[in-house]
Amino acid sequence: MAILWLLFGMDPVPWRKRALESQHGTLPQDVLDPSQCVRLRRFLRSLLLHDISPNLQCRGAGSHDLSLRCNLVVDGLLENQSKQGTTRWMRRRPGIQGLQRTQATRESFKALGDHVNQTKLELMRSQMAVFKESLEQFALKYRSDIRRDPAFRESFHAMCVTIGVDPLASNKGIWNRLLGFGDFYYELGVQCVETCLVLRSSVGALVELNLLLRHIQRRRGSAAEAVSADDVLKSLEKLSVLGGGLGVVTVGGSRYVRSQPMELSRDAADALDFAQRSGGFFSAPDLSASLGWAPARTEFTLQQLLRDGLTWLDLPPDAGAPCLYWVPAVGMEQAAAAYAAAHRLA
Amino acid sequence: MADFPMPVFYSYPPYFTLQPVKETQRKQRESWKDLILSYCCHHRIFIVSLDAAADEFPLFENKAIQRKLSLEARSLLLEDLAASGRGRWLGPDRRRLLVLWRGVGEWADVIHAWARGNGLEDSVVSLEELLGGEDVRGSELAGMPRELLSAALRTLEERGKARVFRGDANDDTGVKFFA
Repeated sequence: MAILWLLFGMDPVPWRKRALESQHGTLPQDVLDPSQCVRLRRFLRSLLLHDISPNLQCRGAGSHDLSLRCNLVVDGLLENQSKQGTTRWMRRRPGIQGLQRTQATRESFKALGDHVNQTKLELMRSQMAVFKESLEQFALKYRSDIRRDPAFRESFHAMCVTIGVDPLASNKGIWNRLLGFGDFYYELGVQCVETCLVLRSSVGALVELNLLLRHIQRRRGSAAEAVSADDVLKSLEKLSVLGGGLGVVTVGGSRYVRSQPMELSRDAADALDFAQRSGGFFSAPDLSASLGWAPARTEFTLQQLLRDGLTWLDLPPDAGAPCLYWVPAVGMEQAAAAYAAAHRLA
Repeated sequence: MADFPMPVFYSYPPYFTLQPVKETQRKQRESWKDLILSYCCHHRIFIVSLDAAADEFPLFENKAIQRKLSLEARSLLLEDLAASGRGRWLGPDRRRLLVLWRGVGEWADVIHAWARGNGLEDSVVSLEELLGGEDVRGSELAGMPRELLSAALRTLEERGKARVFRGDANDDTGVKFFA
C-alpha cells in the first residue's frame, strides 16, 4: 500500500492548513491515481499557484511508479500554467479588471512566499550564531583538558564532526586562537612520517597502527603531551593531501599505516590478517588450511607478499619442517617472542 | 666489557635467511652490514674469518632463536663490507676480511696522535713496538693487525707525517714520526 507524502519547501499558506493534516500531508490509497483524481490535481495546482513546490515522495509497494506519475502530473500542471497564464481553479473574471485582479492576487502570494523564506533564513542565521558562540565558549573553557587528555580530545573531535565544524581546517582561523593545537597536529604528522621512514628499512612499508604509535611515543619521550591512535590518524589525514602513498589501510581487524603507494589484493589482505591473528608468522600449510585455499593460490599470494616486501622468508634449522613466512608489519618483537614461546626456546 | 645492545632484527628469525626478493635482501644486507661494523667496533675485532667457529665470532649465529647465517650469506655480507670500502680482503682466497670500522685515514690520525701523546716525534719506533709494545697496550692501537698498521703508516707517509724505513728483515722496519 503506497502512501503519498507531500513535503513542502516552506510552511503552507495558513488557510490551506485545513486541507492538510500536518506538514506532511498523507493521502489514502484510493486517492493515489493522480491521472484520474480530480481532487489531487486541484490540490497540487493550488500549491503551485502559491509557489509552494511540492516534493512528492511515495513509500511502499508500487511507490516508484506512483511517484513518477505524480511528478509527471506536477510537470504537466506547470506546463499548463505557463501556457495558459492561469489555471482552471481560479474563477475567470470577465474583462480586464478580472485579469488585473488575478495578477494582483498572484503577486501578493508571491510576496508572502518571499517573506516566509526570509523569516526562515533569519531564524537559521540567529540559531547558527548562538550555536557558534556556545561552541567557542566550550572550547575556551575546556582548552587545557583538550590539550592534555587524548580521550577527551577524541570526543571533542567526534562532536565537531557531527556538527560539521573542522577545528583543524586552518592554522589561522579562530580555532587556532582558541585551542592552539593546529601546530600540534602538524608536528605530530611530521613525527609520524619520520618514524615511518625509519621503520621502512626494518619493518617495511606497512606498519600496524599501534606499533607505529608505540614508536612515536617512545620518540616523543615522556615529557611531551600524550598522543592517542586517533591523533595519529587525524594528522595522517591532514598529511595525505601531500600524496606520496601515505595513508591508512584497514586489513581484517586492524589498521595499518602505509608509507609507500601499495595495492593490496583481497587475498593478500586476508593473508596479512591471518598473520596478525597467528602472532606475526605462519607456514604455507597453515595458511592454506585456515583460509581453505588451494596450494596454487596460497603460493601465488605468498609470492606477491614477498615481492611487495611485506613478508620475509625463514628457513627453519630442521630441514623437514616447512619454511615460515614472517610479516614484520604486525610487529617484530612480539612475533619473535611468540615464536620463542611456541618453540619453548630460552 | 660492556654488553653490546643487539638491534631488534637480531632476534627476528627471517634475518638469518638470505631473502630471495632483491629489495628485501638489500634491506637485510644493509642492516647486517651496520651491525657487523658496530659490533666489531664495540668489541675491537679487526679480522672476521669465514671459517671462524661460533665462539670466536658469535655474531653470525643466534642460539636463542636457533638460527644462523649460511656460509653463502656470510660470504655475501663480507663482500658487501669490502665493496663499500669498510673492509679489505686479506689474501687472495677471500676467507678473511679486515674490518675497517674506522677508516684507514682515521687510523693514521690515531697513530699520529698516539705518537705525539707519547712524545715520540722525531724518533724512530720499530714496527714490532707498534704492534705489541708497552706504550701501545691499553691505547687506541692495541690489537691492531699488521696489515692495518702497514696501511695506516703508508697513508701517514703519503701525508708527510711519517717515514717508514724498511730494513733487511721484517723486524727492522721502523717508523719515524714528524710533527
